[in-house]
Amino acid sequence: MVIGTIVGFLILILMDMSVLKKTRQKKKTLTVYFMIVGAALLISILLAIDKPPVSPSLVIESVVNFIK
Amino acid sequence: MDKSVKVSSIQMAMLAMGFLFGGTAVVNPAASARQDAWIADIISFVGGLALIGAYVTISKLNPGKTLIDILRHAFGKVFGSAVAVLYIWYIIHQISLALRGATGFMTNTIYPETPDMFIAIAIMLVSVYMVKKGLEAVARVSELLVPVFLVSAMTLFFTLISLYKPSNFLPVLERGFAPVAEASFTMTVFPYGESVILLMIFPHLYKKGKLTKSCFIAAAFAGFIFVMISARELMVLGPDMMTRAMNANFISAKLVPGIDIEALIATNLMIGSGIKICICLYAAAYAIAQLLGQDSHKTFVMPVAILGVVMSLWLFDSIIEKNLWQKEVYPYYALPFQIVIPAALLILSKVKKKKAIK
Repeated sequence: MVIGTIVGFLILILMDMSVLKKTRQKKKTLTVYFMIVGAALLISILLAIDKPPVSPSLVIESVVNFIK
Repeated sequence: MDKSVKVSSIQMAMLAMGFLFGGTAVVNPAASARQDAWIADIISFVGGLALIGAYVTISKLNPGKTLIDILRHAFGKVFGSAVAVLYIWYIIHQISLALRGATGFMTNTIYPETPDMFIAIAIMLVSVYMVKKGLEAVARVSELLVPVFLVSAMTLFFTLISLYKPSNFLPVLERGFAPVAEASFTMTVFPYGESVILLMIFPHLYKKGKLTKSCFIAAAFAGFIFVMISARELMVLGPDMMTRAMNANFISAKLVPGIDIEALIATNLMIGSGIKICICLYAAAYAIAQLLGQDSHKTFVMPVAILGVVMSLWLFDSIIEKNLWQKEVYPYYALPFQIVIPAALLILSKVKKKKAIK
């Protein structure tokens, strides 16, 4: 499952290569691009091994309950 | 801003309508008001009009500017960019919520054996393709499909007429006004308040003068359809079933005598959610691109889409949990994005405009 996830991500990035090649300000853009993809990959792997991090919904819920 | 992207006033109205229908095609946020759901729908419509009016005014006070430009113009480059990052989070969160709603409905009703992930990926791949083709492509698809939504909602309403029990509307305000006010608030926030995201696409309207008309027509149609859906569910299922059922809309469609018409509900969901996801995907990708000083949104469509899919699988364990969260937590979480910050933007934009005139 983990290997499948990584392969899936690689395929999607390869599919996106043509767009990435055309971008301006490559350094900044690639940093943000791979930060988002990296975050998504990390969460996916943690989900795949059944060790998901705390859901943002729970964090938002506790903040809202604290303020309420 | 990419000035080559232009959308007609009809297309803008259809985009706004599709956006408002997204998510509410299956879940009725006013259902908690029981037999007074239709009153909640009408009150929320008034609240929604006020919110949409405010967003349109913000856009008109800042011609040619997207939400990101307006934030940076009003709050300054550093603080404005920080608030813009929060909005980008909010929009990506919206993508995952809409996606979770759609996959949850599909796996609970039509594809019980299919994992959520496959449905989410399938919806997202189509959305990515559409958004990469540009906002005009999304607008053209909306122009084509939103009328189908309207027609199928009307068809469902009329095919169930033989089962209607108008006595289900009574007694009016049995539990007082508080539940109606609560449901109205929830519904004002979801879906009307979410239109703040449309500030990312308003500058692409070809005839700027028609923005108010397009948005108010969209809101009026959406409000009418919401009242119709509540009335239909109430008259067919009754207040108890309507409140308890997870997919009341789908159940009422299953009751149509003689024909299997429930696929229309899935069609509506796909149209509504699909357009909402596309608009949010475009808005988030474009917002990130603007923050980085780029003109094209295309670079960030894929990463945002991937994150949206992953988050939709991560946020909630079940669709019941999601619906409950959306009812109890979401309205308070959305307040800063939908009311507080836009109110500040409205005031600051007016002050800046007055100063500029002087």
